[in-house]
Amino acid sequence: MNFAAPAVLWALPLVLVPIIIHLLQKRRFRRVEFSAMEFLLRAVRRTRRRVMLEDLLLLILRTLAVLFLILALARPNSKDLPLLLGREAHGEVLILDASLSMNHLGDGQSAYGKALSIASRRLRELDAKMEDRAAVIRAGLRVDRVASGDPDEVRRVLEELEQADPVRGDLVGALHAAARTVDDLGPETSRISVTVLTDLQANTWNVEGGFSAPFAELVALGCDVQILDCGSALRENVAVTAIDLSTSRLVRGDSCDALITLRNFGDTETAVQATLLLDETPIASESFVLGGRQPIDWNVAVAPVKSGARALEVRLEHDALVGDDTRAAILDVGDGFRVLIAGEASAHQDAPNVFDGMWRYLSLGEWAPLRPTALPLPLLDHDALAESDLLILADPGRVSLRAAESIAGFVNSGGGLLLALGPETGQEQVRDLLLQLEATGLTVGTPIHAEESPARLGIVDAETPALRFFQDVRWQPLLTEVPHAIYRPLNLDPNLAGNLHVGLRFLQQDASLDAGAALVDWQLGEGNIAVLASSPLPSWNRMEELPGGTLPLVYDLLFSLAPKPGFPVSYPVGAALSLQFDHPPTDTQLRDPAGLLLNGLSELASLDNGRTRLDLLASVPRPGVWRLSTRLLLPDGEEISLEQPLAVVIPTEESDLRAALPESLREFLPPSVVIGNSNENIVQVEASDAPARDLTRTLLILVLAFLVSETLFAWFLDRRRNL
Amino acid sequence: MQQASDPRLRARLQRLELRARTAVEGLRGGRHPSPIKGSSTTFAQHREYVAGDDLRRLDWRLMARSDRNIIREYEEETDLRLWIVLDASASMQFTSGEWNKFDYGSWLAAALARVACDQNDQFGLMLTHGEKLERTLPARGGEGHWKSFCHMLAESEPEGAGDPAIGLQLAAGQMDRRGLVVWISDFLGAPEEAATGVNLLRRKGHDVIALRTLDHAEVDFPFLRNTRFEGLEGSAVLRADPNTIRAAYLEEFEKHGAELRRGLRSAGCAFRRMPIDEPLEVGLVEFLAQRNAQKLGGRR
Repeated sequence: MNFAAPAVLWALPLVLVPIIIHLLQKRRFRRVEFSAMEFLLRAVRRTRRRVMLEDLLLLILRTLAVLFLILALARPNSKDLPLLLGREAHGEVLILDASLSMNHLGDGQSAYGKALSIASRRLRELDAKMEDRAAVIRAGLRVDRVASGDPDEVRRVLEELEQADPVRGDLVGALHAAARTVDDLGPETSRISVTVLTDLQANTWNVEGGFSAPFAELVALGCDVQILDCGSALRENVAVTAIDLSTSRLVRGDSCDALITLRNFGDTETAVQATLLLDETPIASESFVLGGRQPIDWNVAVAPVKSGARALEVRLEHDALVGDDTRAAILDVGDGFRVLIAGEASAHQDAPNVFDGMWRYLSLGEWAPLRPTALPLPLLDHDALAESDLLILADPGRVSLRAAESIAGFVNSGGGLLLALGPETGQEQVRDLLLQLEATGLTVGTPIHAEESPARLGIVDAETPALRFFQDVRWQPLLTEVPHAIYRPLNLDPNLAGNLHVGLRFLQQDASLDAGAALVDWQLGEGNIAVLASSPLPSWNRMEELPGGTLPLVYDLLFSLAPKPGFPVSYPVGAALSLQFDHPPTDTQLRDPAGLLLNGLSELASLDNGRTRLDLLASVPRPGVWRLSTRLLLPDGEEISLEQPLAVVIPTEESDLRAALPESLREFLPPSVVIGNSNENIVQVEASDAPARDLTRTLLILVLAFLVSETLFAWFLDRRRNL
Repeated sequence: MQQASDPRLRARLQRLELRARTAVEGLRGGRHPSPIKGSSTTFAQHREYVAGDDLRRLDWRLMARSDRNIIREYEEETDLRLWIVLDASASMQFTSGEWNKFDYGSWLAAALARVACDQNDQFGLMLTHGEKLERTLPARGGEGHWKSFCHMLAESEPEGAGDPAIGLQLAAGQMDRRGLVVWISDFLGAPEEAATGVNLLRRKGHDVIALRTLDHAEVDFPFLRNTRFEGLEGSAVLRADPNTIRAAYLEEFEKHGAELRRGLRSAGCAFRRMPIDEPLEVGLVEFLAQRNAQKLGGRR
């Protein structure tokens, strides 16, 4: 309690005045000789105790009146005394930002721990006996109202919330939940405070965050809304923000590039040691000095020997924010794709055709990632396709309707198809096939010889998976400066060909005239289709410095068409872990990154496409490498064992711990929302929550009450005693 | 004891006689036109009947002749002996006004004796000081005796402590002939003792009238400020805020009065409370009514 006029307190000894008057009165007696003393003595004996109590009560009332009058004149104010004097019920809704960044250890305590401490303190200030009510809403993996009602009960639940989740918290959802909670707390609570305990991360707290509406809603509900920054002042952090694999599907013996991005989110230069692990075995390590707010790319070539799904993981030494010091990716290392080339070799050795070119480029030996087989087009049927992963139609002439249906079915169920056009490809003959493949609006142009109109390839979309090799600008001349002897430009009707994607076009020699699309791809069901308008005739290969000449295009094209795994292998934290298999799985086990076995999780569901969906987790809670093992039951009764790692990664936005500036928050928050900072001691929070209350008026009312009580009581006594 | 030459005594005596005579005269001139004509066989006079006269005194013969209602009156002849027992204990000196209870009791005694004297009755006086019977004036008649009666009253002072009923019981032992006993006291003693004293007198054939003299301060307890009460009898001292004990005191006082009244009346005693600021006639009327009743009862 504080006093605005403390000098008045020197008058406190005046409280003795009523006592002194009382004692003085007891000393002054008028002497009377009286006759009926016996009655007097009896009367005194009867009334002594009661009179003493009445006198004492009167004395207390008078003394308190003087005491409170002096205190009132000293103009006190307090935050605590109103509780003693009684007040209306309070409601407290606490929103806990449980995103990954809240785990940042600042001053020896995480922002989340600090938020819990503040929340606990707030709850302790409430009093269930005063009908106070509280609720805690946690914005972590999901928006969860963890407890509501009795403040003590809520606090007990709060003590069990250990740390934040490795995700971005849905604070907007939490604010909407708070508005609903305010309704639930109901009319019993006269004043409801909503406090958001957060680290005010700038990535989240910005104008695009959608905060305006929910905050306005809470203000409209009459709540006292406060945002409290629980983050530390120093927010240094280094994180692994990405592992980009040059291909997610590798053939055993081949290699891929792992492009690892490290980033210093702090302002000071920091040295880190990064380690890359393949299935828990370190395969590379490097030290880096990261400048303030600078990213560094670390490129590592990975060449797994064993086939199967392999887990790559990058680790840094732990810093203040642990969750983002490691990141995982899955590399699917296969034994090679089975490629079926449908077509026939040229009758003239000196005039190889498309089939010859494909065969020559793909037949590279036992360890080659692609293992081609050949089949004349008329013999192509369902059984032949069932043994293949990829089908290359090498300059097909006529394609029967039955073959077209088989091909469409093959692609629909995940097979890849490359339609390599050549001079023999009939315009009319492939129309039915294109219709079966849902490529409406795509027509094949007439063959054009280089002598007539020389053309080169031009890149339309460098992000096309088939152009992965040529995404590096150094190699693009190898693709775009090669003249093509014969080509079949593709014509697209823009009104009909909406599902088709163009990666390459033909450009005339002066590079100004568009001579039609050269590479078009699209999806059909689970599979991918590409039409390459200039097939790799041997005459294409004029680049001595590159083995195979244009082979990288074909290679990457085939890999981009290759069947994808039945499920994604990388998940963000919080996503549903749900996988699809061609055959029903059994004896499924899932281990978390710590190796802990999670039992009784899976649920199976049969899908319309004949596959089986395995639902493992509604929300995967931790980042790292999760390991799934199961057995797939084949129709013939055989079983295939499957060991599949799954990479669970955190959102990179959580690593940037910078706090939003209050002035930027003011741009989109209602003016009445208070923004506080726990680092300025929690006193500020308490001050805004329970402002010091001027008690002068209250005390004067009490003085009046005491005086009225004293007068009434004295009047009552007089009346009774003067009967 | 004060000497007769003491000016204060003389003044007091004069005041006593004056008050007694005034009271008796006032009584004659007011309520009863002819209340004290006797009923002996010596004829005194005839007069007109007035309401309240005893119908047995009508002169039937004269009524038949004159056609008027005539009453026959006789000279009073009486053997009534009046004993006045006056409580002269210290508590009787309490007063909140000009005179105290003893003064009032003295005046009342003198007035009663005056009436008795005028009726040719014998009257005697016994003064009790607390539990002691200090002075006694034998019962006789005549003007001179009344003077002696008044003198004895005037020279007495209230003193002594104790239950006045004990004094009454002592006085009862000295009353040889049956008569009418008027006991004047504040009765600040045990009601049972008072009833015992009256019963003793009643057994000896006396009629008893108890007249209780009270100061209004005893009845109303009008004290307001803190007061040190000092007992007139004994050494009891009490400091108190009168306001805090008033109700309880009055309750005790009334309770005692009720017990006293009940005890005395059950003993066959006429009892009357006489605040000392009331006229003396009230006490005289009570005495006369009782005297007449006794005389009638005696003739029967």
